[in-house]
Amino acid sequence: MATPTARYVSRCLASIKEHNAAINAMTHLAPASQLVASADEAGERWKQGRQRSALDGFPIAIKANICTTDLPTTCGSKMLERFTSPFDATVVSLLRKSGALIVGKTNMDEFGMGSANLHSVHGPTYNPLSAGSANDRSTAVVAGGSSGGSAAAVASGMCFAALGSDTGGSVRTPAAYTGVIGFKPSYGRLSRFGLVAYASSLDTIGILARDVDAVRTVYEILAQPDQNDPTSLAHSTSKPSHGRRFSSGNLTGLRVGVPQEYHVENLHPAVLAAWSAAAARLSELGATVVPISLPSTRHALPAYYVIAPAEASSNLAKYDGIRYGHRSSDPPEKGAPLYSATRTEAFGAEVVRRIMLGTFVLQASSYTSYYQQAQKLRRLVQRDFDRVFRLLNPLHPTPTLHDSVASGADEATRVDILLTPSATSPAPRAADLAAKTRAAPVAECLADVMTVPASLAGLPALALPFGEPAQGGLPVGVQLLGQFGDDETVLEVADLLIQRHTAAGANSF
Amino acid sequence: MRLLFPHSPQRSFRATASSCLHSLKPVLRPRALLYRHLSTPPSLLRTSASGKEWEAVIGLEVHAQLSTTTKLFSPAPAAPSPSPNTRVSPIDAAFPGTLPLLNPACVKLAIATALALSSTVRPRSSFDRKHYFYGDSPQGYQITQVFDPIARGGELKVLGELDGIGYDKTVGISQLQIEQDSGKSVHADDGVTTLVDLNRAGVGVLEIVTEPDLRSAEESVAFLKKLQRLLWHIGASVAEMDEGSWRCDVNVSVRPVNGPLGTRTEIKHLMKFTSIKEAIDYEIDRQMALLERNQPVSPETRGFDTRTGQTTRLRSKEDAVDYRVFPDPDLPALVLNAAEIDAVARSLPEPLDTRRERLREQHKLSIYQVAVLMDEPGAVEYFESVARGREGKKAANWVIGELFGWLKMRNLGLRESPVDPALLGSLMDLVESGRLSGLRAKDALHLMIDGDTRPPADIAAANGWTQDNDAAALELLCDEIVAQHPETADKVRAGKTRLIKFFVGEVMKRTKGKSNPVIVATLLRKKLLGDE
Repeated sequence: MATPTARYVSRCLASIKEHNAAINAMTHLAPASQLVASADEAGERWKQGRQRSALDGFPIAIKANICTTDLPTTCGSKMLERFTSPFDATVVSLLRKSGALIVGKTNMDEFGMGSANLHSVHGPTYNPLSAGSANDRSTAVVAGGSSGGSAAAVASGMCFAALGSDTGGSVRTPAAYTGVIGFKPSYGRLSRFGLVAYASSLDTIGILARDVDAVRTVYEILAQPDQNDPTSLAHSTSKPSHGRRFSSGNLTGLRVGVPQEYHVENLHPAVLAAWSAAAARLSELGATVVPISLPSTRHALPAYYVIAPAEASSNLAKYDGIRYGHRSSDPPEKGAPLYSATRTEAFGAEVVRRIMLGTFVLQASSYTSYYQQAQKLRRLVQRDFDRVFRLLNPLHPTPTLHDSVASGADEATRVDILLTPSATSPAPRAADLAAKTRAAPVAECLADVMTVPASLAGLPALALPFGEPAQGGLPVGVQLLGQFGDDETVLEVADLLIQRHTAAGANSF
Repeated sequence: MRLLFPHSPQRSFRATASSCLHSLKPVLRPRALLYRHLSTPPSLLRTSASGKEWEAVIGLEVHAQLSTTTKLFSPAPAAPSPSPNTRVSPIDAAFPGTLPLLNPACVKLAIATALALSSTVRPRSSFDRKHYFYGDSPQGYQITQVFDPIARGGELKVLGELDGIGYDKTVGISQLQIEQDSGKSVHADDGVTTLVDLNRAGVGVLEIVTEPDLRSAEESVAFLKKLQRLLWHIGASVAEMDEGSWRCDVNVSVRPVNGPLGTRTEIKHLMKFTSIKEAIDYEIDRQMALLERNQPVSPETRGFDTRTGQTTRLRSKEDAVDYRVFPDPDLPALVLNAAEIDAVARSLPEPLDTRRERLREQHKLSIYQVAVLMDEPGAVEYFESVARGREGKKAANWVIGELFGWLKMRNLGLRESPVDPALLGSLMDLVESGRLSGLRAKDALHLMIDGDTRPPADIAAANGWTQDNDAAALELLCDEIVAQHPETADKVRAGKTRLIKFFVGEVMKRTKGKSNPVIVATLLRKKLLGDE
């Protein structure tokens, strides 16, 4: 008689078997027999009350850009198609220590560059809600990216939770498109050691699961300071006290800001409806919902699309085919360096585009007008958030005189959390988006407008499904943003919001 | 480790090499002039064949490996190894997912160097990435400090007598920056394959940039030797320039006397003092010749060919590499508070110039002796350990004249010397107390250098070298001889004290020279004159 954890793992394996061919969520799988045996051992520990943690024996899927010693870490790229890391990422070590089982690696946009999971050496990941079939993708809907594989794996029950990475929305967008919870903690809260870098100052490991409790369970195991990551937050910055606890179901005293700048022109009606419904629900729960303004929001996308490619062009310089990864077998062209054929062959179009862009903005002749300018805009976006949050930012604890004068805001007008849409629309059709992107590559980037500001400021952000699904049953949802370091409030409010939502009987997928 | 004696064969080779080069030049400045101490700097102007006077303006960028156990951003050992790629962590090989971990020991050594150069350690500095693709640069960029280096300003005094240029010169320091070393590329014999060794990749290097204050090749080399001594002295870098653990880039321009600054060229990757001197001299002559023909000097990067002694163009300013420098997003700013800087300041040894002054004052050492001691890592500590409670001058003679000389003949450095300073001290004491003659003591030292670790007294006894100074026996002998010569004894008692020498001679005869004449004389004075 199998233990409950073994039965859980078997169900996940069955789901992989049934759905993976159609949705292409998992790229590499741990041996099934080994998973079941480990789950069984964990189940015995549970029986005896000796479980290693709340995750003991539960299967977790890992994005293909997070290093594991037992499965390849391809980053969705031909460059690393056969690469296996000699070390585990810190988050993977922590999961293993807690007894969690690494069920497999999930598909992604190459090196994290994309919002729809269409750019992968393993082929696209499709949305489990409308994947079409391997033979007919005409109606297939994207899973979102770049952690599309992680989101699709969670949505189709292939794992208990999945790790993704979020640089400009790569956890939250696929979560929104597939109707699961996607949490991007504060920058530095989860170790980046072993996360293959895309844009180091933005890269954040995120968690995807079907309910907030599961996200919180994984989060609490992973939120540890790490000596191997120089940008890891120390314990002192990691637990800000907001001096308020919410008792069961009551948000009295909580101030929720609704930033007017997120009401963009092309916002889908279903998304707008969900946003309003969520605001109304929070109000019902006792929170005070107020409109606020984040005037620098419009600068976020331009700043992001300078900074992220700049860092990417630098972080991806290491792939020269000398020590690991793909190496061109062509004899180098006369006078051309060894790496040029290697890089030309092994990087996909979107990666090449961003490396070229990043190389351009870092050139001595454009550094001041692009890169430095983008950094200034990034600070404006960060300052916007600091002006509206009641809690001080532990990274810049002293608000400048300028801040308080400019905002005209005193303690009473500030807020504890922000409520925004998680995406501008439900998941688009793969064929439509591909056509649009072919015509203008920027089309795919515009979808990041809801998620990028929190990335620039390093804020904790959580996307959750909410409201009536759009036509075709595609989910829509909202996003909660907290002050830097205030991950707890985001998780607590998300939990209450989604519970009430479920209790009210609406479709929560 | 080699001893750098001022008149080593190496030095004479250099003199030969540079004389060859000098023969190409219109004017030869007598070498001897450089070693004479002058109260004011001599003219450093160069006179061309046409009689026009030119002044060279030189600035240096010195890259010295920091002496730390592990690398700048990884826990791999920093020391070299003959086996390629054995001291490489995934961080050094830039494996995906790795992150740099700043080694605080490198920061401390950089602070120590900054303080020793009177440079200002900045409370906040940061690291930048400088990009270039090369097989032995695994990250595709070097982590360095371009925008906000760890220290700015400062100076190093090159002192006439002690530093060998014949006059005092203060060289301004522009900045100090911490950076990563690269790996090594070895081109295989097949002419196609390049082998990469990453043992050196990621080792911490301190780049020290001077102001353009130097005016001649000799001055530049004297500055570099002083800087090398200073880094040894504070333990920041034990490496020697001539061993390739240092590299130097040199900026050279030439201008008419009191004229505006000329266009400069940069000579990259110089590895030896001789190359630096030759390259600067060649470049000055080349630029002077161009300018005299009214041809412009083009701003360019040049290389130095050690075989031909010439600099050649590597690349012009137009095709200069764009390094795309930007702040490293993996590394937070390096913030140093006053307490941390003070702690390093407290750990610094006595300042180099102060120590040299003290060795001369306290131990009455010569300039030559001070120079020899200061040029050998650990030599001052060794010497002072021998000299403790003993006469400095004599200790220096033993350490430099005897020990170093014999070590050098055996091609050994002080670090490989088997002679414990305490044992060398007891050897000196044996000689001082008269129990061992100076000649026999040198024989004993040879045995000690060859590995005899017994106390010198035992060595002397075993070889029958100990001088007989048994006080009771000697006293009896003295009494006997005094009794045999009562008249002479009376004359001594009456004041003719120099006749004591007669009795000493008698005693020496009877003991066949094995007793110590000083001790014998003391005994006799006591007996005849009642001296204590």
